[in-house]
Amino acid sequence: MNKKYGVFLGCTISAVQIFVEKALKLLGEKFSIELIDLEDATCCPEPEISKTISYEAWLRIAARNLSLCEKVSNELCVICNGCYHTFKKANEALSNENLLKEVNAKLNVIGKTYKGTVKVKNFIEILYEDVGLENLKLKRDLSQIKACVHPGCRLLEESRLVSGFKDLIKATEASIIEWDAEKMCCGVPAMYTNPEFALENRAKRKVLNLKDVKPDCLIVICPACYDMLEKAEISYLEPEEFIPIINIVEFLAYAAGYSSEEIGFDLHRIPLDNFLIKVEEDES
Amino acid sequence: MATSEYPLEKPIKPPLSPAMSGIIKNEFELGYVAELTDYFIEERKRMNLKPVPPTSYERREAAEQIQKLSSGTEFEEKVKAVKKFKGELPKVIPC
Repeated sequence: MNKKYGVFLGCTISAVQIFVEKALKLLGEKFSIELIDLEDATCCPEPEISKTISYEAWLRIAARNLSLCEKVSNELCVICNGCYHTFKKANEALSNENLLKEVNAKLNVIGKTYKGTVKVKNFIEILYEDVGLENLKLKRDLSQIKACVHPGCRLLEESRLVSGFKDLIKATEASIIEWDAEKMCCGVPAMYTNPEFALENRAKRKVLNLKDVKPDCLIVICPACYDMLEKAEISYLEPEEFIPIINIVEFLAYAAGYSSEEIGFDLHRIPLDNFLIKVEEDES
Repeated sequence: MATSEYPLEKPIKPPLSPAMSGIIKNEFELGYVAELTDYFIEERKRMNLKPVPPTSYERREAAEQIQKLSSGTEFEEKVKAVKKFKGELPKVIPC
């Protein structure tokens, strides 16, 4: 495809979920997408707390990160639902010329300017729109996999992204199983104010529903949802009941033919053994 | 502006929860929320990724820019209070 994007990984992927970063790099090579790390990038900043505490600071910091992207590309590739929300909303706000001027007055103090030219794209959007479902040419047959999906609240704000998310999974031939708690929040935002509610009334209810449905895996996109649901499974389920949780980027890299070692599946705290056995049995 | 977008969103009043305090303190002082530990630096090497990403994880001046951008905002005020009172904002005793 030979297209260039600034890539913003955010805090969690680079620091903890490095298998997502690795899978992203592998898919970038496979589809000839040039993904350029945003040098000097900081937290997006996350929308739950920073934006509520100070909209001004949140907007200035987001504009700073967007200005870093402008140096390398006019398209920003984001994976995390929270980062996507921050940049999308900040960009919408900065389309107001007066506000952009006001924010630039602050950015100029640190030697930066944002012209407002960046288009924010979720990585799944890049795959189904820019690369195109028909060009994915995924090597590994995952037709035996029955997956549940958890798009996450921020993705649910845009139905086209949810459809794209599901279409990408269907492109691997895997089937999607409906489950009651699919659209329920994982509980992350509530963790900051009421951890008991977040765990008991959100994360626990989700994983207990998953346990009843028994999919081969749960496919997520947001690293925060991944982290919350992984912790909930470890806390509320017995090891033999664990459902592997896989980020869509890893799932697609695996479908594209990369091995579990290349992606770093061994770094998951919930082992992917049963998922891998099911695929490999079918392959043999 | 944020409240017109989400009408039910309310300003955060003191005291901040410990989880919130940690997040804003990290964001302000280090430029990121999640810390990159030695364990993951080693794992990044094993996975043929740059051991430390070229972001604020590697470049501390990025965090200094965040501090300048936050100057005079409620964000800076909350961080100062978190640092001074170790996570809890001061209680105001009426005279």
